[in-house]
Amino acid sequence: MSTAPVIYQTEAGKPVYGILAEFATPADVYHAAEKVRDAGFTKWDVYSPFPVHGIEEAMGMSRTKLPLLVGALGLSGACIGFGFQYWVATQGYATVVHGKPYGSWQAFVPVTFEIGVLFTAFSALLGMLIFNGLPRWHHPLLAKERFLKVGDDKFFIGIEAADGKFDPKGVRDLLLAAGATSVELVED
Amino acid sequence: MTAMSAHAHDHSHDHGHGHADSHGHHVDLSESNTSMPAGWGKTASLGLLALGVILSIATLVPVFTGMSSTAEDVVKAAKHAMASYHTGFMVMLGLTLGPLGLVLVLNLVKAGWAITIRRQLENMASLVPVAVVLLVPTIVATMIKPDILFKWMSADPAIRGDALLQAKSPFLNPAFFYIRLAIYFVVWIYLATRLNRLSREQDATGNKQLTVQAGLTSAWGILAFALSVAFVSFDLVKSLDYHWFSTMFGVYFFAGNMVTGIAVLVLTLAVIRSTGRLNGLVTAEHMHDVGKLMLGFTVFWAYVTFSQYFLIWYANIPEETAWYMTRAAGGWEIFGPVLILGHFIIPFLIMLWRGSKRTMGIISAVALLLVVMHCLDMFYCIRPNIYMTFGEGVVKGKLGLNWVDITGILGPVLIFVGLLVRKVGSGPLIPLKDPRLAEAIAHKNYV
Repeated sequence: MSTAPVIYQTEAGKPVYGILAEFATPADVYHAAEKVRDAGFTKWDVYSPFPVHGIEEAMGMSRTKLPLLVGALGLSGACIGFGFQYWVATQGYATVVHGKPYGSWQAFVPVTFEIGVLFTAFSALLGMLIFNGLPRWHHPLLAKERFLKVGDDKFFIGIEAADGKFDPKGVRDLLLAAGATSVELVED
Repeated sequence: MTAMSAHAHDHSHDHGHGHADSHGHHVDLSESNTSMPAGWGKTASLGLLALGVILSIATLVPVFTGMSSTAEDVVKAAKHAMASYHTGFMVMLGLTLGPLGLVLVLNLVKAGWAITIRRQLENMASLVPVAVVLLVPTIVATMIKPDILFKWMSADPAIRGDALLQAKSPFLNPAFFYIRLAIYFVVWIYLATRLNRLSREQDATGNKQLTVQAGLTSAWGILAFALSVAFVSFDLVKSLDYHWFSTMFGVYFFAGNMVTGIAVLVLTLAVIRSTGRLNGLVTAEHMHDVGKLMLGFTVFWAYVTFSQYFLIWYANIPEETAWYMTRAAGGWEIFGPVLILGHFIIPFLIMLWRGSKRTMGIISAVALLLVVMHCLDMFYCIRPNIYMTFGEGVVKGKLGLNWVDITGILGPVLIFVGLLVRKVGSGPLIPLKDPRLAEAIAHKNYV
């Protein structure tokens, strides 16, 4: 299809962020997530006060690529750590220590290990933030009074208007059929 | 959405009640899933046991066939044979101690996920009394010729007068040595038999109090275990070179035993699963966590082994470096790189991947590699003490490889494997009525 993406607006002319649905229990939101997944949506999320076991399967999420990034950067860190020490000890500032040969690899192992760990830790934290689209100052859902209960005892599904399958009526019907206790439009 | 997945969801929040796995299927706890077929492994067990005994005895052949040559040659052959057998014995002992340590930890931390794998660790630990029998030849040989393995027992005045040995003699003297050995074995046999008995009694009665009792025993047991394992490594391995000292050695020995214990657990589970048993009880989820433990202890082994080497290398004190100098010449120099690669880098890079831990073929292959590497590691600790050459003020090693090195190591290890096969076939493969069984069945790695 070569049609331009549809841009939804409210009657007041404000752009639409998406649709937010509230659910009463973790089981409700779990089964609703399965329905949203089966309907083929890609730009949506489940919001919950606590982790719901198995929700990633119900949402059809693929496994994160974070371990690959962390592994690659961790090993690079170890190589950089070792290489730099070796360069310093043999070229940059060659010094006899304890009468041992220049570039004795044994002495470099602790720092190599630590730099590897340092790179691993930073790439895990920063990679996690980047993959999650964080940090961000504001989220359109936070404008909704009802959504504040996500920190207490309610469960939500938000489907974004940017999703190719988004159509206001269809989404509303889907979420209501899935057991939502309320469904509302969210402005961007 | 299908009815099946709704069912799955209901059960995944049902820990502690129904015996449902993560897919919501009810798990078969009948004998056809939780016991090996009647008569399974009987022939294999007897065959392995016989082979182990024959190989152990065969290790002594060169001692007697060497009778025709000089008395000195006979002593040399006997020392060689005993050192090789001692290597096999230490591997065998480690295969009971590593699992005993894990059983203690699992009981102590109330590990729910590990209930379905715990019985095999208990089986391995329960073979610790066999180690007493296998130690008898070494003790008898030591009685006949005190310095056959332990040079510090020698009557030679040159050795008796050694200042370092005299400084260590309040600890390193034969009487105290045998008393210590007796204490270690009493502690291990008590812990292994008691934890086994409690677990099997629960199979019959389902009494939940037995789990509490096992936890209490493990609480003091783990302290006794930690001290006795460290000290047995000082007595039976480190003291072979009485000049040497390394405070890391106990931890090094412990780490090696944990890695090998977990590796043999993996192989045992692989054999059991290949007969179609433990369906839904030991799944990819459990192997994933066993694999994490194996990876963790492999890294720990490397960490401790390097730390020991690093401090000695850095300080450069002759009494300490002699141990590594012996192992850096005369054919032993290949062992260091082989152990770094085979005991750490290769298993580390393979086990790092999630899929490797969850695929029985890959995790078993790595486990087998680690068992072989542990044998080499013990060989590397024990055997160099037999042949050494002195030159330019430096002690140098000599490999002097012989076929008894293979029979000596394989003998005790095959005896262990033979008895383990019999043990696996003899009763339930899991603690059938453990209160945390449902938790183990529902176990799932969410990442």
